[in-house]
Amino acid sequence: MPDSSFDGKLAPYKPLPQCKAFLICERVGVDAVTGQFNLHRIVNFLSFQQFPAESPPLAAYFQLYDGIGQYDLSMELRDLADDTSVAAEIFSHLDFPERLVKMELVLPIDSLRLPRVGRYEIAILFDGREVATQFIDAEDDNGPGT
Amino acid sequence: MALEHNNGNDQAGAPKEPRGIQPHGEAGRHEHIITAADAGWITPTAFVLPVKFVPVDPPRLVKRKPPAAG
Repeated sequence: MPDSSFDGKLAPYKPLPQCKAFLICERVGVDAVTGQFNLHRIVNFLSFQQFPAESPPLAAYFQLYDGIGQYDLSMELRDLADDTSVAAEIFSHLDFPERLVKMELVLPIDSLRLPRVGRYEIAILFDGREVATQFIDAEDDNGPGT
Repeated sequence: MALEHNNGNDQAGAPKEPRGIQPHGEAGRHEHIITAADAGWITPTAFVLPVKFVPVDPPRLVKRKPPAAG
């Protein structure tokens, strides 16, 4: 029996870019002489005195390669306590000029609204498909037992 | 005596800062801190996209790919 999945009605499969680095930091600078990026103060956790909390501005840095053409790009903030998406940002699109070019992507983040203490995940999605995630912990600054 | 502009870098022997570039890094390198105002291509292979998260209300369950069998 012929395989109906090859009847030409399916959209052609487009590989997702590969993510080689995803780091969240306080800020990203670009060297005026060399054009290289500097990552300042990589952030693994944030401390707050009360919740819900608003983080200070952050920046996400990505190294990507093996992308083909244009992708719709989006980002999600997930609360891992109940595996829900609590915030999202939809971008327009990102174009990979050449497949084997290593692209650097810098996303200045206005702030993160974190409803409670716990572990969160930031995910980047291309065409609605997850490419990379990174954890960030929200901690109570009042110490244990408070 | 003529005064020489050095962008406030007064340490003896310290390199002079070029005009229009502010030193930011701890190592004193000439560096531009990337902000939302830099949106777009900043080099042929580097892109800046500002992010402003919007709350998802009510929060929705994350769709995760099931682990591959075997």
